[in-house]
Amino acid sequence: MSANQYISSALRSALDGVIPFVVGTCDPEGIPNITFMSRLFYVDEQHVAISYQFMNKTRRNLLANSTCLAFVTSPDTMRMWKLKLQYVEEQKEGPIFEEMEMQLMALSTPDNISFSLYSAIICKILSIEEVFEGGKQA
Amino acid sequence: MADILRLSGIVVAEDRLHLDLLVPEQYARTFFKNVAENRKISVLCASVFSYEAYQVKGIYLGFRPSTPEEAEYQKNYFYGFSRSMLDIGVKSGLFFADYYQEPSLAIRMKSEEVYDQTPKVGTGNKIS
Repeated sequence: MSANQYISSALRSALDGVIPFVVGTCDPEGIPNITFMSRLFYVDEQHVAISYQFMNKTRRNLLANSTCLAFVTSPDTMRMWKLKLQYVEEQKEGPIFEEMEMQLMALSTPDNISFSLYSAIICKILSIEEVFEGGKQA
Repeated sequence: MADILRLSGIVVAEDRLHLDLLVPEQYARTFFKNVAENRKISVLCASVFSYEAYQVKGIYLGFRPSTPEEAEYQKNYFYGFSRSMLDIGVKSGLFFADYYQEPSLAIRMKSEEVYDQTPKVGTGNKIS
């Protein structure tokens, strides 16, 4: 299991995939919170952005305790990674926010989930660990 | 910092208060390091068809090796999950079966709170 802090081409491809990622945070008392999120957005090779849509607890925990862990799965191979992240800032406008909003609108359908974006939570990648190298079946 | 472990099955005890979380041992090393410092854990489960999701928050109680029946349960879970992935158009879902490795463990937790985690406006409400 390798660890580094830069986004590889395989991981970047997984970020754009259809499998929701999972984010885990802790509140100040150490109580963990875990939730599915539609997409983790690539900002640059050392930063990603979490969409703040309806996960109030995740946002509260990140503002109180600045680190979190994202679990990403590749839809092509089922390869899995853990990304340790550190909160940098929250953006409510600008190119990153607008790009995220556009991508979330493309994912939404009229009859199920509201993908309104309140903010883009920018995080620095502290480390990336490959958990599972993916399947080997033909 | 929170850690995340991808499970290979969940068995709810008859008292509906305790859960056995099944996972291949090779993925659980950081989990044991973490619960030595903080016994609070949460479990997230969801339907890949409806996105209906629930989070169970509780306390880590201990672990033991999986029984042969639990090993079979996990293999069946991966088969079923892979089929479900195929049904929603993720052809690589079959690769997921390779995630399962023996030996596997049963991690016991006591449930304290359950939350609705289905992605929607207002999600996160406590159910019990």
